[in-house]
Amino acid sequence: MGSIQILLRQHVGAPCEPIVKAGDNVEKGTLIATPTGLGANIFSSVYGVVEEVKEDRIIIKPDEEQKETFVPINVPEDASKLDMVKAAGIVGMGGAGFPTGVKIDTDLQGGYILINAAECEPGLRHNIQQIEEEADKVIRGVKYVMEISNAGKAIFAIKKKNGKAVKVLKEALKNEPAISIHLLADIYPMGEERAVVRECLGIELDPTKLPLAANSIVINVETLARVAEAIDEKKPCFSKNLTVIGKLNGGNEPHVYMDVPVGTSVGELIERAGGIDGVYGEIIMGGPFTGKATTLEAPITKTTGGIIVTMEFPDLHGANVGLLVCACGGDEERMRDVCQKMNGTVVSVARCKQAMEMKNGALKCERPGICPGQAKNNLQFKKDKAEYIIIGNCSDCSNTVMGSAPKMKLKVFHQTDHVMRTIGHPLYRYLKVSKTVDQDI
Amino acid sequence: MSITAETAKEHAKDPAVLCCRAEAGTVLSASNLEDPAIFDDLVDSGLLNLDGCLTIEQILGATLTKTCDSLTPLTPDVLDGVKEVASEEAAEETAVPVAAAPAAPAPVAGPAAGGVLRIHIGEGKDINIELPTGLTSGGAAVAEVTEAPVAGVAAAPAPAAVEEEKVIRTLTRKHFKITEVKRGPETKIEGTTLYIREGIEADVVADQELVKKFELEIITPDKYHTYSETIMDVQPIATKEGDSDLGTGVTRVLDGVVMMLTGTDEDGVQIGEFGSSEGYLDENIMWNRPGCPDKGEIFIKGNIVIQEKTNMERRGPMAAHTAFDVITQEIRTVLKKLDESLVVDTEELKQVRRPGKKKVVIVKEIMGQGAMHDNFILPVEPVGVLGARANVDLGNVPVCVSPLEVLDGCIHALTCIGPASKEMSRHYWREPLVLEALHDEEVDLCGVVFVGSPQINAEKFYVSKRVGYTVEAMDVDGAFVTTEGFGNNHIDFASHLEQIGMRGVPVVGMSYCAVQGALVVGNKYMTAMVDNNKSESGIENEVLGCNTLCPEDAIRALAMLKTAMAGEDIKKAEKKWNPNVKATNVELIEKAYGKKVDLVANEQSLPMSQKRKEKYD
Amino acid sequence: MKELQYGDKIIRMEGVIVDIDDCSISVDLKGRLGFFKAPKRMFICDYPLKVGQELGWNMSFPEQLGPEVNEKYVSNIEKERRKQEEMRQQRIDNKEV
Repeated sequence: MGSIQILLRQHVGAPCEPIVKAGDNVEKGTLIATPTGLGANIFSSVYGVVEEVKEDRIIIKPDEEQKETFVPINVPEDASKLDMVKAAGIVGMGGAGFPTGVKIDTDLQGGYILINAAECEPGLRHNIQQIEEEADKVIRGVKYVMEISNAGKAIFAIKKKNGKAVKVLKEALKNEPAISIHLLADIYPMGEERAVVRECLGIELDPTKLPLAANSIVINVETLARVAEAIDEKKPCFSKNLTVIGKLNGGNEPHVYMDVPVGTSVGELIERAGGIDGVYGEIIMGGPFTGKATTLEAPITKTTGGIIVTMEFPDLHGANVGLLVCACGGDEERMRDVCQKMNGTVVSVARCKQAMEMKNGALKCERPGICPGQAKNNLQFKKDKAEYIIIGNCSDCSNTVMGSAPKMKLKVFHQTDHVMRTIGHPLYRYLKVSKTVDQDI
Repeated sequence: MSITAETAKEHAKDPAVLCCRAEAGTVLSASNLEDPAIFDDLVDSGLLNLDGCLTIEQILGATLTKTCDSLTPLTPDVLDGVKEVASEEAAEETAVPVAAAPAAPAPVAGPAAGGVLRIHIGEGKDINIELPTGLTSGGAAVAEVTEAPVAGVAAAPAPAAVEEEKVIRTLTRKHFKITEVKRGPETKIEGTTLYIREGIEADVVADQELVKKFELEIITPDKYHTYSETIMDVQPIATKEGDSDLGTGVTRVLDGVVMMLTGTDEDGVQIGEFGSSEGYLDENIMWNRPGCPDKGEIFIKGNIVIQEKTNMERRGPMAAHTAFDVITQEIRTVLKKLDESLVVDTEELKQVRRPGKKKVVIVKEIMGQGAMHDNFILPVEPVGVLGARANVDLGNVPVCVSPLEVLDGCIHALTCIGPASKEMSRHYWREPLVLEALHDEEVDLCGVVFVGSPQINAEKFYVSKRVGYTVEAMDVDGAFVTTEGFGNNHIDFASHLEQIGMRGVPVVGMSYCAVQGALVVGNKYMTAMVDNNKSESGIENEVLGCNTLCPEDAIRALAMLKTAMAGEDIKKAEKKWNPNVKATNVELIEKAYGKKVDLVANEQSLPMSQKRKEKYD
Repeated sequence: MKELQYGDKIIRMEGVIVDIDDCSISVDLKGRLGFFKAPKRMFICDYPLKVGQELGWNMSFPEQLGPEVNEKYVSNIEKERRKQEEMRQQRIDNKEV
């Protein structure tokens, strides 16, 4: 096992302050950094010795032998469930990384807990697998959160295509009248927070609003399991479930790893999954849409959901490219990165009409998954003499782009094409399925 | 991009097109619809065909019966619950609702140096003009359109202080009929026969050093199918009675005969620019255009040969025109003495001022780049040479003339721009816009300003600023700016419109634009435009006078200016040249004024010359 | 009118003014790509014209509209050519006399 690098910023908010120094012995579950503002506790994920404390990370040399046991969270006997969640340093594990203890510290007055089991990023599977294997733990987590935030109901939002998981859930929920299932269509993005609210509750939220405005909390499957662990086992949050997939020896099937110590390197996980099969394009940390290029040395965090090794990029030989940036895919920087890797020249950048810039500079879609029309952007690309366009749009918007781009002789690439080709997933182009699904299970 | 409910309301009469895929069962709202503002581009790109498409007001609230993809024009077969929009409603308020239909075309866009010139018109309604650039790309003419020109106009001027019409001066035209032109020992007119002195050719040659040869030919209607060199000019034969100035007193004119000048240099190279109307006369002349011969007239056709290589020099065409005037002058001398009893018709042209009515001015841009891109201004005799000053020598600056001076031949045109949009000397003699404006009782035409079009941009802006101050000093309520042909003259044309528009004066522009003549530049004052194109496919063809300003254009321009002066909006036309815009406007005008607008024929009415048949239409 | 197939393939061209007369400008295309002469009014000029000034413009490739030969044009060209030749000869003869 190589060195573990635990980043001090694995969540929304300010970086944590280390409370260990080089040479300190640490155990699995030892608190090693604490929040300075909005944030969550960070624990060692291994037994070992602190090698170095850097500005942005703590490097730990793990012991040869690693026991299963861990140091439980340090809370008084009579600590509330919420205190335990807070102490365990749990953050939104779907990728957002918002401290869960803060999120659920609210009174929904009988409102909804919406369980985000959309696992929307194509290729990823660990959420669904967890439902298939540990539905009980997840449901326990749901009930704890309902209790903590005074919710009256909970709804699992899950794609209908995950037949097995849906069946398992249905069985597990048969005596839980307050918890129901809402089936989602297999299109991107169904897992966007406000898309989940819209699909489950029929309420369309403004991009500046939180689900709280609809009297609900949207929370990821794995996060709920961590909540159950924190309360039932006093287990600190120091491990992560994730999917490794891509151009790997042994094929492009997803490899799901549960409870991977936070701080493990990307390279180590890829090796575990069989190693890279020959030449590759890039390694993505996260999902194909919202993930970013990473390196073999990079460590995983509490929010890492996927590691994807892609096939090589096509070579555009410097051709003119237009970028269509939206909230659903990568930001402009990521799109430019993809374009550069394809050896294209960016001549035009357009932004989807619905991509609203938030105060922090991030883009949020006004109506996730519901296209506002894209013909105008294509006209811009054409005028700017783009030959190719790279889009990062959702299923619906991609479909719209395809409605005009080919006829305008614009060749379309989706930002996820190289991933989709690698994992044998259909490319995001035309939309062939309905955006609504029958709720019959 | 999807639109808001307000935008949908504004575009209620525009086609309804899905912006994105919408599934069966969707109740359509504004958010399902593409913005009509980009339809022109989409149609251009072949992405959209709006035939049979319902309008936005018809489909809002209707239910889609079939899942449709983005950019699907909504038609009744995929919808349930389409609203019937009462057509009788339209009939009642003729003017207003019909306005959605495009009216007179006004080119605002055109070729520049690649890329796209985007103009936002901040005033009035949210008008966006996109100007595709690059002549070769087929030059989309952006046309601006008038809203029903009528409603406001009829009402507006009426209550103004009713003052008497004032006749400033009159011009009497005495017409003498000519039915035959012969050669004889002396130039004379006997009855209706005009004799031209044998040997006069030598006088023409002797008049100018550069003229090396001259041939005179009498073309009677039976000889219309004669091969001819490029026609350089068509001129009326007219003279002043006594010593009255141009535009006053009495002018004598011969009916049934015109002077026609053609020529080459000694090496046989046409004097004239590049496009040419050489070929058979009957296939290359658009009969009865203001500047052209009328069918049935006799042409006194002179073919001048000038010194080799002077065809492209200023002195070449000038010498040709000056020498040719020797013949006309000899006829004028005879005409002056002709017995009064031979007058077949007398007409009195009145320069009328109508105080209290909307005061308008006509600015006519004439070519001034040099050589045959020149005009002799204000000769002593109608369309003569003597006494005139060349526009280029005057520095192309604005020159104010009276409407009667225009109609009395104050412009002797050397201009050899493309034959189809060429305003020949005779054009000014019968200038339709001057005539219409002079006769229109709702406006007060205060004068005509000629301004040359220099070659260099700095000079162009120099003269257009003068135009601005000239018009400012006139204190008018509205202005017309016309130009002939296309090319760099459109730069100053646009600048004249801007200079006038920025002074708060409503202004209507007139030019041949259509497909080839799409404007190279535009500005926010170029919202009311009339396209003089008549050719079937919108191109500058090789037929003399085909695309020049005609009465129908003058009527449209007047209606448009009145609309603008009444403070009403001129609707934006489609981006690409669409002949229907004109047709719709003419219809609106006919309805509003209750009179028929006769449209002139185009090249399709001529015996089809092979070249036209195969190349253009 | 026949649609152009390659009309949207716009290329930037440059050239040099080699001759100016009172109504036209002659231009040599850079790269030995030819020569053209066009009326002054088709040029947009910001400065007084001088031989040796460089020009730039966008154009596409001229493409044939069809295989047919238009006899009318052929005859016009032929007529012009013959006339010019005759007139030139005449001029030279005259000068010798």
